[in-house]
Amino acid sequence: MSSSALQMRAAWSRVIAWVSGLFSDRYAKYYMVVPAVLYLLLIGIFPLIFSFGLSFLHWDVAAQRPMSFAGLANYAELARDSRFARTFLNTIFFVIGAITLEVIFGFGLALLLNRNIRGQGIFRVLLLLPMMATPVAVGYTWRMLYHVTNGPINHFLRMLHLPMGTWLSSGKTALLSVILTDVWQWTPFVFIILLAGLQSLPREPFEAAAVDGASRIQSFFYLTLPMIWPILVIVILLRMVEAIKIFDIIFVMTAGGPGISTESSTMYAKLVSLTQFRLGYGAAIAYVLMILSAIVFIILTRVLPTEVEIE
Amino acid sequence: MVASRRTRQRLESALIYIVLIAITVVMVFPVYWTFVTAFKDPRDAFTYPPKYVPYLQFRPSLFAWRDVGLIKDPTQRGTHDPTSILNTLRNSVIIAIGSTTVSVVLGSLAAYGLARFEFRRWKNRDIAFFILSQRMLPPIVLVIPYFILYNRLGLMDTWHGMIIAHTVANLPFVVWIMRGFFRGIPKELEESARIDGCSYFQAFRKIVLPLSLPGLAATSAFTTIFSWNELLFAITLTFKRAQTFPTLVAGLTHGSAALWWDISAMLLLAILPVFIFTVLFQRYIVAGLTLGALK
Repeated sequence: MSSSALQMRAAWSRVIAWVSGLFSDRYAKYYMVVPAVLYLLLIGIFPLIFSFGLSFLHWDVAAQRPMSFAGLANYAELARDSRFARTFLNTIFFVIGAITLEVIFGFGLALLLNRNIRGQGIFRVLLLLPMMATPVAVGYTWRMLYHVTNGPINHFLRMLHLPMGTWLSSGKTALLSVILTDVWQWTPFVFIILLAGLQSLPREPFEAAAVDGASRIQSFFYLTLPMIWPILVIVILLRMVEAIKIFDIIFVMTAGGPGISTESSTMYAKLVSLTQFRLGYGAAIAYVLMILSAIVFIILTRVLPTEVEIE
Repeated sequence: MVASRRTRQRLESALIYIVLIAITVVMVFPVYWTFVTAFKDPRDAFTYPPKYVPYLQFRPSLFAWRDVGLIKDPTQRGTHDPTSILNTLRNSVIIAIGSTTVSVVLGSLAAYGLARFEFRRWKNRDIAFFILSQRMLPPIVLVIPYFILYNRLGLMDTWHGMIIAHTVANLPFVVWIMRGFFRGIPKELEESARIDGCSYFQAFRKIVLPLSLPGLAATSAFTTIFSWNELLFAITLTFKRAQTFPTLVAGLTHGSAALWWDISAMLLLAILPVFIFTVLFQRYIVAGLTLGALK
């Protein structure tokens, strides 16, 4: 009787030792990292898998048909869907167009302004504001600016006796106009980073090149460009990841119109799944976008330094 | 020869200042336009030719602010219901603060773990990139399953539902940024605390956290702004009780009869807190935008 009580007590103290062992400092690192990882597995990865499974289902809530296995039917439909093709092209065109212009302007300005300029601090804050501004506000603001009859942009053009634009009102110019808004918002990003990059380059190679009689163009192509290249690549990839997601400014500026001339794939996937309630097909569209951005991300992991310190 | 070089230099610096002024105008004008439109009487807004200069071309008016109901005036009945504006503003603040709190608590712990300890089975780098990948993926892939699951789980149109959703994007951001920050703190400080008998958690709380307050503040500013600005999750997962401010504004018009003065007033409400944060934390914004990859 007492021996079994002793056994109980021994077992109990073993349990306590084991449990308190769990809280020992040895496991501290797991307690730190595991919650965040679990959170992302549950709220990030699980829905991702859910979504992947969804893309192989016919799940048409509005038609009130029972859910059924679709195999690759959704993806086959994608291949034939001309509206999807258009939105995908719009997205690609947006990504390429916006980033090209941002890099040209941003890099150009960085090269031009790579010297000591008075009032740099204020200038820098001014440049930071557009990127942080609420996208909904950016979209509405540019809608006002682009307005064909009463907007300031056409008024400027008219005062300069230049031809006025149709901007958001025509299917031919709307996507370009949306791109220009993104360029307004994100050129400063490219500019600030490339300027910081240029200013961190060592001086000696340029001085040596100048002594050897290299022209500015030569020292740009043989020195500046190769040295700034890694930074440029990171900037472009980071911008791509964000640009592929494009939704908010277009939603506010044109809602995808006129017609579907500015509709991005995110908007189309949202329309299909959350307005028409064709959940399986919507998930398939979203997954195409997901694969595109996964490719960019994988390239990014190859070039992004992990061992950096801030300040 | 000398003179020509001098004139060339002068031309160059003149060119630079012209470019600077041009950029400043292009950057500032859109914000300026929203600002003046918010203080125009309907007569003066959206006219041709547009009116640019207050007092000279038009008399500033608080019409829009009365019209959205934020300034009470018995003689003017507002077009908009101020309670919906105030409610959505409140929802936006609560969701932003909630998501920031959760992501900073979970994220800074994970960041510290990844910055200080070595993980064997999965390398630190792999864990870090796994976490980062959650921010990179296009949100529409998550929005669709969230929409389905939230309907089943009763998370639709709730504050906590939105906090959960925004944290998926904010948490990786905190981990990635704070990891860089913690690495910059010398290890010796914690080691001496450890010798004094602190556990790792105590060393983190007593030594590391106070030292990284500026980083935490900047990171929190970032996650708050992200949540405040976010539209896609908010527009699909909230519609009434937990509706956020950008969602309300985005839904105001899709016709041509937009009340631009009212919208502009609301846009200012949306942008103002963001601008204050940006000015306060400007030193860290670039590091935040590049995920600390570049300063």
